[in-house]
Amino acid sequence: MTGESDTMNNRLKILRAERDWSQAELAGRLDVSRQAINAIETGKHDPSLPLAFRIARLFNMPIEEIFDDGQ
Amino acid sequence: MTDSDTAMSGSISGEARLKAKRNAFLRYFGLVMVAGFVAGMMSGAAAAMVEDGTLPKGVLIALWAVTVALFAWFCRDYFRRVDELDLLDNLWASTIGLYGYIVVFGTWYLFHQVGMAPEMDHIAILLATLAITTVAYLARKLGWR
Repeated sequence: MTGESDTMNNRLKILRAERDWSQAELAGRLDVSRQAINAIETGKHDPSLPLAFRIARLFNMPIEEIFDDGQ
Repeated sequence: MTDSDTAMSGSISGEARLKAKRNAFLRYFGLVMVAGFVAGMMSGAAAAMVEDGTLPKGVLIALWAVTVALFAWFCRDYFRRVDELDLLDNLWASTIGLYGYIVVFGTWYLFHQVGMAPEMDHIAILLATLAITTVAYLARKLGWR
């Protein structure tokens, strides 16, 4: 990790909206806090690899379709 | 996530799970705060009794050892309960608190050496360190990441 400013883009907010889930709903399903979901959606926090896998499994999508490092 | 958690997630909503988890954490944290307060009161009373000579020093040492062991257990347990964002907030706040300690201690020591500051007050430095750590933690909690 080179620092928190090097955050990735992600489609979490869109995927959540498509399912009409609140941040709290998604947080409960992922076993994290609502603040964690907000921080990921706003690009202030990159999730750990285990959490990224949990997110991918929940949405039934490959990680690369949710997170984009811009490369 | 355990199997029972997975089974639960199918039956109740994520919001309900989050609420239940938050309430359980608040109960746990409240209980720990009460236990910490009781331990503080007991250690203070025991120290006074040792000073009076009504309690053997060995009992105070045993109480101290138990308290430190419980504190270590709580720290480990706490960091297993919080999520990765809160863990990161704690790590950042602790790092900033440590740097604050080094700056405050070093500054006071330097100016005391040349006679420009009074004798060092280690309790004041400890309180300053805790204040810096708390401010850093709250700033992160308010979204300053």
